[in-house]
Amino acid sequence: MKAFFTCTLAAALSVLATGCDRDNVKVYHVENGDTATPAPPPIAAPAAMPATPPAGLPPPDNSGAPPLKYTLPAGWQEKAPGQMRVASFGISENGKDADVSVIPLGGMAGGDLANVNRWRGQVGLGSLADADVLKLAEKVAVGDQPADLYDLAGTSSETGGAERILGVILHRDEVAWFFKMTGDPDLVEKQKPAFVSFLKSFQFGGIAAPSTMDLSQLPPSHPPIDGTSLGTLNSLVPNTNTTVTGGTDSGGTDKPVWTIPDGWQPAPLSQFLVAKFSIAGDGGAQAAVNVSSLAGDGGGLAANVNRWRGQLGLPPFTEENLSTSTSTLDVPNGQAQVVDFTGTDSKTGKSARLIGAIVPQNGQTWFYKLMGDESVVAAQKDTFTKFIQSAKYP
Amino acid sequence: MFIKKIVSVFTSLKLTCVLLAFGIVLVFVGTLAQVDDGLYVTQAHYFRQWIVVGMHLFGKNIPVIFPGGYLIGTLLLVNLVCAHIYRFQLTTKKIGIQLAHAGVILLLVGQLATDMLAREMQMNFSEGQTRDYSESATDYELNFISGDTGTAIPAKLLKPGDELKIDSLPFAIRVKTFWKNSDTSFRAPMMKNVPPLASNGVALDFDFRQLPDVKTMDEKNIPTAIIELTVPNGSLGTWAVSDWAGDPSLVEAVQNSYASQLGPDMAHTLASRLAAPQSVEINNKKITFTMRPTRVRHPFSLTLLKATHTVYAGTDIPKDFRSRVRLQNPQTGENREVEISMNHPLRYAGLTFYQYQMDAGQVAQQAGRVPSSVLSVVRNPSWLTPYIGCAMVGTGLLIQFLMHLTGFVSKRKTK
Repeated sequence: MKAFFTCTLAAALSVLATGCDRDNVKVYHVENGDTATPAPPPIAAPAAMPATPPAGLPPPDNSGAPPLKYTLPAGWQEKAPGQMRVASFGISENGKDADVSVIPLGGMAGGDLANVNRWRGQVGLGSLADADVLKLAEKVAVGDQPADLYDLAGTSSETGGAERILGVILHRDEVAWFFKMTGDPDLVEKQKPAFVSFLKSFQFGGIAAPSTMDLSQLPPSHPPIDGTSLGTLNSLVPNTNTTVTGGTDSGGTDKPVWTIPDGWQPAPLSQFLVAKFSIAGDGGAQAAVNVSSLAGDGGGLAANVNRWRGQLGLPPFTEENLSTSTSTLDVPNGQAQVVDFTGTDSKTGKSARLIGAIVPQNGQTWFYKLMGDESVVAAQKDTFTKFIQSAKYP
Repeated sequence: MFIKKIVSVFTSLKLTCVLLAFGIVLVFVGTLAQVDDGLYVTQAHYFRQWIVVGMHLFGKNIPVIFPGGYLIGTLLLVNLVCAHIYRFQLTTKKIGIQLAHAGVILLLVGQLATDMLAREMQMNFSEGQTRDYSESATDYELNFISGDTGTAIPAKLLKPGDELKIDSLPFAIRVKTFWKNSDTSFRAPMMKNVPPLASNGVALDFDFRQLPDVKTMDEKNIPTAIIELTVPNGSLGTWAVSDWAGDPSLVEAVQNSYASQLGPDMAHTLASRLAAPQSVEINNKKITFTMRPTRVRHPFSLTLLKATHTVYAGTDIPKDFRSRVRLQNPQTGENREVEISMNHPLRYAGLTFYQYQMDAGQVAQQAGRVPSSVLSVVRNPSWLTPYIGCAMVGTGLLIQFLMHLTGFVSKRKTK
């Protein structure tokens, strides 16, 4: 028996010693399947676009998408769209160069001012406060929609040479369109009128507004991915399991639970939205309620309010307007900021009213928007308020 | 005299009581700490340590030094064994107690062996895919492949400021940065106002930034390191190595995420850039490298034939998850279909395959995803010790009780 116990103790100690080899470098024979990360398989294209043949690295092909329409200024050379560009042009004159890009990005939820400061950083200028950035804006038109142009000159942080940027940000259908000319300051100065004309001639045509990132594509074993900056995978965790059938929304893994009013019909979600309802009024009048969410402050009050104003074709607020135009609404665990505008729906061209509420909760910001025909919005205002207040957040 | 003193300490019942008291406190503290720190961090800080330095409770750091799980468990084992070796006699009357204590010793040794030898991995595949390896959910490795030789460096060895010289590699690895958890973003044109993190490879197209370590079991860290490869003649450049680029499912997630806003073609281009192999060439030999979950190869493969996810009619409540797989082992010639479902794991080759997670059924179909399944792959050579140990304890106590009962009844009859 003594031997048994002694052996057991010895075995335990030897296990202790031999178990600690997990942190050693291993040299092994490579099997056939042990290669570098394979290129991802191409995504099956939606019906509107041609299928991409499986290959190692097929070049970007936007030829299947409905073409953008614009008037090409003299001296501008069209280049193949690359990276995230849907249109790309080069200008060369007397040894000086400039580049023009058109990039749509979803989920920008008010990142304008941050992007302007990034452009400023590109030309070696310091960041400005939001109010000061707004003062720099020049009014231009992109097609028939108002937009802001920022003219920035300085020294390129990459090349060290003089550089000038003309940047325009337009919000349309929850997508931010970035039009940018970058290049030699003299050439950009000369091309500025042509750039403004190009913007005015721009037509979006039949391009479907791309939505923001769909984190429901994450494989189930993978974590929610955090991040709020441009191009970063967002921390939204959309719940594709929950079917909203009226009454109480049973919510989902990270979705609030609401009491859904009668008459609100669940509508198909675009990939940015957490919930969407359509409301029918008299005589074919319509309105819709969208609910979305972003981590952190979601870009800030000013940026989001101005995004909504852009959707109604209204000019952005200054800091002064903002403080006098928002009201507060008591919600569980805090207060929401509420805005109420009337304008022209940039999508339909019809008169529309928008009531928006921004609700910070537990490190997330929830955006509620009721927008549509004025009569329907007016009739639904109180119901919308109760809906927001009924939310029980995860 | 000195030896007698040592023996008396290690065979003391007082030591047993003190160690059990420490154990109770440690378990209590660990249970509370797990709320904020998560299971894995708590296990590592309190239980997989000889000495616990500092406790983190209710958001406060308490400066205290306390015996860790390894110290308490080892001292308990030594105490129990020594007490038996030097105090108890093997007699018929004490056989039950001896058996019960042997069972306790086996439990302690078994748990020690589990901690040292057990490994929990995952196997993640879509329908039609075959896997002959499983991957760790928590450990990562910096993997170099040159020809048919691979060198896997555990990520735990990548400490910022260190220089690693590995015999199988023709260069030294200088670790400039290591983030246990990170995020990635494409260096879109309007974002290119800061220099890239490294001078080569994926860092030219993607930025990475540090994130706080994850705390819950449902999340996992995604590490990134910035390394410089150096040879005696100079530097081969700096590189960003990240699990974002090394894990095919993460690359696919990035692609799917960008597809909704950029279209499938552009998203595929971006994802291909993320996954593009990084390599250096030395003496006409190409060496590729990547950061990926630690892999363990198996001599057999599993192919996911069908992932089935059903819910109770009219609800979202999951009813059944099952994976039908084909098991193939070229060494034994096996080629058969097996079904793995909740409460019905596959036990094969010393491993147990449990159904862990799944993306299938209506959810995957509506999202246009190929059904996939994640199996939890557990290797635990000492999985039987708790059963045997408990059986020994129970039997020993029963024997001792019956002996006492028999003696008591006999005495009463005699009276």
